[in-house]
Amino acid sequence: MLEVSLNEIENLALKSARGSGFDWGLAEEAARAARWLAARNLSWSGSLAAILEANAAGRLGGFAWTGTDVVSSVDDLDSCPIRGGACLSDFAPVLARLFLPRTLHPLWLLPFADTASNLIGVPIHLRWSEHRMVVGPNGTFGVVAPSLQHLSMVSRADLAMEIGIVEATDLPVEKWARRATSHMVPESDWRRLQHFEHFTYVPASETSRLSGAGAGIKDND
Amino acid sequence: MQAAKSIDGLMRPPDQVMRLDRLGSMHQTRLSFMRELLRRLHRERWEVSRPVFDIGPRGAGVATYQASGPERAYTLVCFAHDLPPELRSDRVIAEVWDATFSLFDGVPTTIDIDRLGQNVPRQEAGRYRQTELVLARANRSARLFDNVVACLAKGCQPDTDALDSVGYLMRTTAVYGNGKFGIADRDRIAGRPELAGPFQAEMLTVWLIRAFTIDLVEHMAALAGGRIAARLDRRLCRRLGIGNATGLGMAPFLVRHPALIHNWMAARETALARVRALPSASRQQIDCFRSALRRFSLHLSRWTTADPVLAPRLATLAVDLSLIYGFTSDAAFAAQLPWDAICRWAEKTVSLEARELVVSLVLEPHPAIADPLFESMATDELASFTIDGRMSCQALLTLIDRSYAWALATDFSRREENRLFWYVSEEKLEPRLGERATEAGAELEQPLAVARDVKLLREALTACDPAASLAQLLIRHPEHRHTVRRVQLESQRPYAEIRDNLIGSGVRPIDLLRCKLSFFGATRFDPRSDKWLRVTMFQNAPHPNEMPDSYDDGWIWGPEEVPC
Repeated sequence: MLEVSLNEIENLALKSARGSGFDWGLAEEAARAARWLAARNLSWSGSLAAILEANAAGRLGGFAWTGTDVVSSVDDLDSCPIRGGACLSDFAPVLARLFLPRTLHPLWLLPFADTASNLIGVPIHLRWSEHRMVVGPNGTFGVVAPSLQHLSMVSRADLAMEIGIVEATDLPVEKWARRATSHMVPESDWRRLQHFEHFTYVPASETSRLSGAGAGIKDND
Repeated sequence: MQAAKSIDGLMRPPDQVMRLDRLGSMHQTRLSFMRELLRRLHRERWEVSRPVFDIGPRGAGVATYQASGPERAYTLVCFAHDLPPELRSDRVIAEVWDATFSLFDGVPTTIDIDRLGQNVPRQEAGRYRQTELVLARANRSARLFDNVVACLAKGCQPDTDALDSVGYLMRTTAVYGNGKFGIADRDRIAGRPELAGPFQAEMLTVWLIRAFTIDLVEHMAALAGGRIAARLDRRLCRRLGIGNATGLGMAPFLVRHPALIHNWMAARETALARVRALPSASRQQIDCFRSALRRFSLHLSRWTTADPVLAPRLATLAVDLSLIYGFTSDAAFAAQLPWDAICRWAEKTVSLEARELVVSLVLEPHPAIADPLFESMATDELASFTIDGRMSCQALLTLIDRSYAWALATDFSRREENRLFWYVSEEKLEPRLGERATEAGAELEQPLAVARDVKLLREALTACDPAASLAQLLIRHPEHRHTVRRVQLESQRPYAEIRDNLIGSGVRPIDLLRCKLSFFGATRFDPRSDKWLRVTMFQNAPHPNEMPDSYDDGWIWGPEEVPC
């Protein structure tokens, strides 16, 4: 295991997401979400690597706006939780429901649900098969069934979200655990992410070695 | 005394302030981070001790400097190395250094020091824990270090001209904070009053490194010279700061942290506007202003550079100083709104270097106005991250047209406006600038071409239904997401954006560096190309053992006259 800081997590997530093909703005969302998950001791690294591998392989679909709903734009692909999460936070004020079929690692919707809930001031209910969870404003949440740890283990699920519709028994009353400022990450996950980070770098050439950093004069005194 | 005028209308607009040439003319002010650090250390009576100093005759070994305040202690752990001269380089990409450092959170045990000794000398190649707050390294000045040791070993003091021409015994080549290589995230320390402000842990590190450099030369001289060895004259110690060599690695910072740069600039501009709104100047304030001006004149005479752009600007600045002396007579200060009058006069009379110096000079006599604004300079960047998807395309278009005229006026079909691209080098993992037409890798461009991207976003917006929401735009055009975020952020933070084309042929990256370094409180900017420069930090600052004495808050301006 590797002990890393939240800043390292955010930076690696940004670069690796970009390297896997996300636009910069979505890579920024992935980076913030990774930091959010890690800060709450939720398992983020293996799931992010899986999401980026699917993204780079073209196995993740996008979304479209019908005028009343957000729908998956490609029927035979898995839903991307980063793009789906961005849709949730962007459209939350005008949506009552959002359905993301075959979402990879639905855990990744939590940071976006947190953002959306804070933005509009109402809880968001997440449901997939027998599991239910609610994310509320001001850092509150409620695990209705079965447990937060279990959510981390779900690698693909049809995910239904209801915005602002929560039964009284499901109110988010828990607060996220005290935030960690470092995180243990399996080295194999870190390497999988670094694989994508690598694609954001430009190989050196003779020209760039001479001019890129403005060197070429004696730099010692 | 009359009430101060409203500052409305006295805030300098971002179109005036946020230009590269203006940012590249900035000087330290009362709000600079190293000044705030020392004010606090003095006010709170921090004490610095040296629990460990185990250095051999060739300057290799370990030392610790423990700074203890009202609630907490921090310890600089120093590793000194005996480096062959041919391996010494200022470049961030070097792999060995004369000295390496870590600022430890608290008091390290011998086990901690041993662990740091396995890692800190390797810098980026080592791994660190949350107990380490800062990682840094420094090289000896080839011109000065050995010379000073040799002089002291013979019982003599070093030549003051040589000492002044360099200004430091060691220069840092990197000072890392905020989670780099496993060290503590800023979250760990952001709630502590002494480290809540920007870069306070880094500034404390550099100040303690400076103390170490003095102790190191005296110790090596004593080992070489025995009983006849001298200590460095205390007045000369004051004149030695710490050098710093900074390159492109720092340049993207200001673009990537728009909320932070807004807070820095807004604090400075608010302080300036409040001072300009004062109806009159007291005798004490006038004396303080004139003292800073005199001290800067002497400082300027020692500020040398071979840079073909800055050298003539400094020559003009010297001429401008005499104009400033001439204008700031008793009669000028007797007028209504004297500080405003000085700023207005400077804006139409003297060079950019001098205009920005006048900003620093008029802030100097006003600690009660300027200093409290330091508290507003830190930021929680998460607070500005969320995109408001409800906003209409028309509303964003209006925001762009209001704040980005400078970007929209740029014609990116012209090769010189689109000439450069920022990238990260695979070989060095550092930001670099490439030529779009002749170098490979432009498709891997970093998102620093703000002007071009805003222009592209505006084109996309004009093709949309004006009433459509940004959520609808972004679901179809995720490529604009990072730019939408910036524009929304900027609409609440007018100093967030550097209002120039950062990929045009006219860009000088050292302008970005100078802006940031002036906020640190660096002086004697000495560009070595348009991409990197050397500066001096903490020159003329009190040393740790001088802090309990009467504290000169204006130390950074230097002495009024040459002390020896």
